[in-house]
Amino acid sequence: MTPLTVTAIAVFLLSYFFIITERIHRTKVAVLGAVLLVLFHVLTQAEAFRFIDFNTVGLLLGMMLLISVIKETGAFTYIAIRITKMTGGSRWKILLWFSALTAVSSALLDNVTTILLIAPITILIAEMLSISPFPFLISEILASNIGGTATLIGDPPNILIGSATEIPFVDFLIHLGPAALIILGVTLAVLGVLFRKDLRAGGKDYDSIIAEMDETKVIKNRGVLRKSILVLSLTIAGFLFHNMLGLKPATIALGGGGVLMVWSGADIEKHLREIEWTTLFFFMGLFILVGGLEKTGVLETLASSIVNLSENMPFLCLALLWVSALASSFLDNIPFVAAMIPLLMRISTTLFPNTQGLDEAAYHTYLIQQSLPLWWSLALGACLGGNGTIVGASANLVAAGFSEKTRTPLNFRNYFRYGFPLMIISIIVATLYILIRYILI
Amino acid sequence: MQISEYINRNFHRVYEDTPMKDIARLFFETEDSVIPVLDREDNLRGIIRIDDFMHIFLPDYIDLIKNFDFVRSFGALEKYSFTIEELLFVAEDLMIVNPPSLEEEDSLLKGLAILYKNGLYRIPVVSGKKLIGMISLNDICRGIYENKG
Repeated sequence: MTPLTVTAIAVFLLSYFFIITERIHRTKVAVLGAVLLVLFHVLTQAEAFRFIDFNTVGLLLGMMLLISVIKETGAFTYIAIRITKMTGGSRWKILLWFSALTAVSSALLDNVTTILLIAPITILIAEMLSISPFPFLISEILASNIGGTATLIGDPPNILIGSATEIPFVDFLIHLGPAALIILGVTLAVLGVLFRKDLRAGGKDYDSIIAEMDETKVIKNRGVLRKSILVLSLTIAGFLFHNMLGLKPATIALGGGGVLMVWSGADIEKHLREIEWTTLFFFMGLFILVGGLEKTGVLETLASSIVNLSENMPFLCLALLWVSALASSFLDNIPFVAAMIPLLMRISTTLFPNTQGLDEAAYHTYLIQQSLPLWWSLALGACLGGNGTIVGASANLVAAGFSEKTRTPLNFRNYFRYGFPLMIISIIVATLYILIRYILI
Repeated sequence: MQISEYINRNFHRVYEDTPMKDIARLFFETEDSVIPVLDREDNLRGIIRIDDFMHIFLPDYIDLIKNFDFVRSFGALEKYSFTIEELLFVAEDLMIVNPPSLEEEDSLLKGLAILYKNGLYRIPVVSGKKLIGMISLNDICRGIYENKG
């Protein structure tokens, strides 16, 4: 092992230690770690910048811009009230429909924004109807992480995977969408049983309280709302056809965000201030940290060792699924996936070498096609694992923060009682899905 | 133009152990928006703003909701809000400690700036730690326009 390799490993492990223990803000650690790699000559500055995946950064930035306009339109509150009216105040139906709204929104927007928009209105409606918000918040957390699993843009692990592998948006939807749908159905059914007492219908005065809500008053600027819906729809259509259009997802997202900024007349400075720059810089630092390992050959050695242990695809898939899920339950899934992606690339190269003499692009496509079950296992494990504990995903922490303002706050223990078993159930379903769809048939 | 001429030296006050009901009575009987809290030596300990005082009747998560136009009645919350145990609070629990204050020698313009800076309509005037009066935005408005002739 050369001194540069040792340095790369040391900087990587030290940085991950601080990121995992959260003793120092993760973005500070990632950026500082990246700078250290350049200072110690593990990477040149040019190499460090080349390791940054600007497709991921651009995709996140574009979606953040889009979301910053959409979230101010009042559309979420409008839909939430319509749903409440439609359910007639049935607790079970409210839970079901609010969870479905959360899942769909999380698949199209990001999970944290979805929870930021849906949780406050859930708490208010629950309290107005004298119902505990607890079961609803639990179901929304679970639905946000499950919904986020379904698409390339739904959850950061999928954005990272999609960007690195160039697996198209449609493929994510086709392969992960059904799994997310089944898992959401199973999760809601289990929640229905677990909370059956709390969800028994009815309370007096429900009808009059609900009837008095006037959803038309929450939409302040119908013009911006219409433009936002149209641009979001076009952006999603762009994602669906990005391969045919010959465009990368980042171009589609930045295009959508840029068009909406101009068309809606939004204050660009205000919306740029709302961009989560800490997240973007965290990603950039991480890419460089992992790049240090890649350049020094650490990932190649690690990949060979794993493949030497087992070349059995079903074993590798299921091991990846369960390890990712358990790790993501307690740790941030972004650094985990960022490190796993180049490792999986190396494993795939070892398992499926270029024996046919394909050119680089053709070999990459062949490699990804051959190793798809591995990528789906990583995505399912990392995204669904976030449901395991209250610290498993940022959206969970946001919901917990809101619940502190209610009479039944979520904490590590009371969330764990529901979240962890349901996460395990979801991974069992995911295991069956992987086995049936990719291994046995 | 000093604030000294415009200070209201005949002001209402409460002490650290004054119960919430008495504070509420002062607010609705006097229409003062800020009440000073003193210790038994008449030193200024804090202020209670009517905004903070009334905020406790709202559930904490109300801050999370941007738009209430769709609500006509808060349903079950209407009853809950007025039976909360916070009604047992005393002035010390509700006051802002180390509040902004002015001194007699300060100018009207400084008074105006401090009020705006702190989002207050009324502010204590002290000499050392002793409270000597209160001055409001209305008093400062009068002072500025009187001096303009």
